[in-house]
Amino acid sequence: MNAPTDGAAGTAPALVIADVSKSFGDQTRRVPALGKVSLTVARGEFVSLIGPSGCGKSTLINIVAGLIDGYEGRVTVSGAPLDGPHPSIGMVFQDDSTFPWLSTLQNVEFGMRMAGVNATERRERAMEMLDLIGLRSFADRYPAQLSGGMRQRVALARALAMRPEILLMDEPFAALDEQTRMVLGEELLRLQEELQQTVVFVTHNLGEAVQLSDRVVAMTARPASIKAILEVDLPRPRDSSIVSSDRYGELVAHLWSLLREEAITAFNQRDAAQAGAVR
Amino acid sequence: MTTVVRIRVLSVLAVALLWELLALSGAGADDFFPHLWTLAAAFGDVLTSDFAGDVGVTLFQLFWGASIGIVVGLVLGLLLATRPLVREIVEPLLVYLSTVPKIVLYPVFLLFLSVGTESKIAMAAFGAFFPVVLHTLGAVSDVRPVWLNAARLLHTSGGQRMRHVYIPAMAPTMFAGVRLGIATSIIGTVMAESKAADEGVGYRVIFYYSQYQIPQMYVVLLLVFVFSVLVAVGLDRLGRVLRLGGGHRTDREISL
Repeated sequence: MNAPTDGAAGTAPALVIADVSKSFGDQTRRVPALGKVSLTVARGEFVSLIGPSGCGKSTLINIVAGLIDGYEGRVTVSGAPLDGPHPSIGMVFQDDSTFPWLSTLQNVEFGMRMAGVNATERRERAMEMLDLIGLRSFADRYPAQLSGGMRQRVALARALAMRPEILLMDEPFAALDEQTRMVLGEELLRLQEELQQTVVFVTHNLGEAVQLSDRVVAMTARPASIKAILEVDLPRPRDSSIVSSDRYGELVAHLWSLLREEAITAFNQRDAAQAGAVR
Repeated sequence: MTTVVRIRVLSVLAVALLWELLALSGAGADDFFPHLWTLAAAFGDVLTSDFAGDVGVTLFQLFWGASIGIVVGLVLGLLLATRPLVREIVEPLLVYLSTVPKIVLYPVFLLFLSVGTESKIAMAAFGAFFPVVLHTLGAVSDVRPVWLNAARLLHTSGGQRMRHVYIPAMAPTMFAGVRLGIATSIIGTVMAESKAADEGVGYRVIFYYSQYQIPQMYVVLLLVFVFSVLVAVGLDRLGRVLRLGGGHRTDREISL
């Protein structure tokens, strides 16, 4: 379940994306979704991908997740090329992915159960995870009895229980209300300080990206390529009070100046597509 | 007693009262509406005859017929459900066939099987099969793609996803199909027994009718009715115990 502990795993970067591009459609009509993207993510680093909606950042993270194939370029995880969902990659999705027929505890245990971890150990690890996300007292509740934010925390605990080398998060808070996403963002920050998890985080929220990340990758409108990479030099450990610092404000403003043009382009693309559809 | 239960009991009493009023009014020819006390006496008649034997025969046929129909329906449904191409070909056929009244197949069963138990089992099986297979096929749309992706990223095999994602996600709708299937196989069995048979509850109804023992006929009909209701209630309870009641998406949200 953990990454192969050969020599390469210790030294190679957690994730290398080299000249990856992807088009959808068939030979007659190919729609490029992703231009050539190259990115290296170091161990323990928190990297956000940010870009206009529909730019293809989700395509990129789904390629890394092993859920999309037929792309060009190379993806290597701890030095090994990717082939389907990698055993040391976990993922949290935008949509609620908790299994409604399982309790909170059973959800968190699911991956371990499938991997054949014995009952005692998986119970212990699942409870540890529930403590970490503050849902121990909800262990026996079912997802229908939890709020949307709680369900996303369960999904996070379920992914973390597998002890992934790399955690992918595809707009995990996008479906939640503003206050819930602030609380969860704060919690993710706390977890990050504690676990030093390697995270690739997709978002379209500028503040969220700056607050959480070591680096923010700004992407262009479709087909997405990397516009610029912003180093977030805010000190760690951070907490949510960071949002009131001057540097935070500067970084968000700088990020917006990078993205503004792309957002407008994306907006016009959608406009044109809609006009085309009407015609 | 809750208000709902009280209303239910009262409505049963009201129907009985209405019945007795019709009997007293002398509506229809004699014995169309037997008095309640006549029915009570007929109840004794029915029980002292070999009615238990008929019930046994019917239950046996129903059990095997429904079991075969349900198992074949579930297995075929699951096989087709995960194979989009085959499904596209077969599903319309099943939908059209399901609208054909199964009773028209009965002469064929009689021809190929026998006038005895086998043809009734076939009727019950066909009755159960269609609702089960169609519900199972329809249940695939209950499986949200994000569950499958999450399961893949939790490093499950295809078989594990079938067993631990597809089936539990589809279970509430499949169970609704099973409930409907059992109901239609009761109809199938009793109907077949009333057409060509020399034993079974359906046969007994027709026997009393042909002998013009109308109160006895009503008693058997009432017992069939009560049995069907009990089965439905039992399946309801089972569904609740297995958490298959109203599907996963109903809001059982409780205030926290």
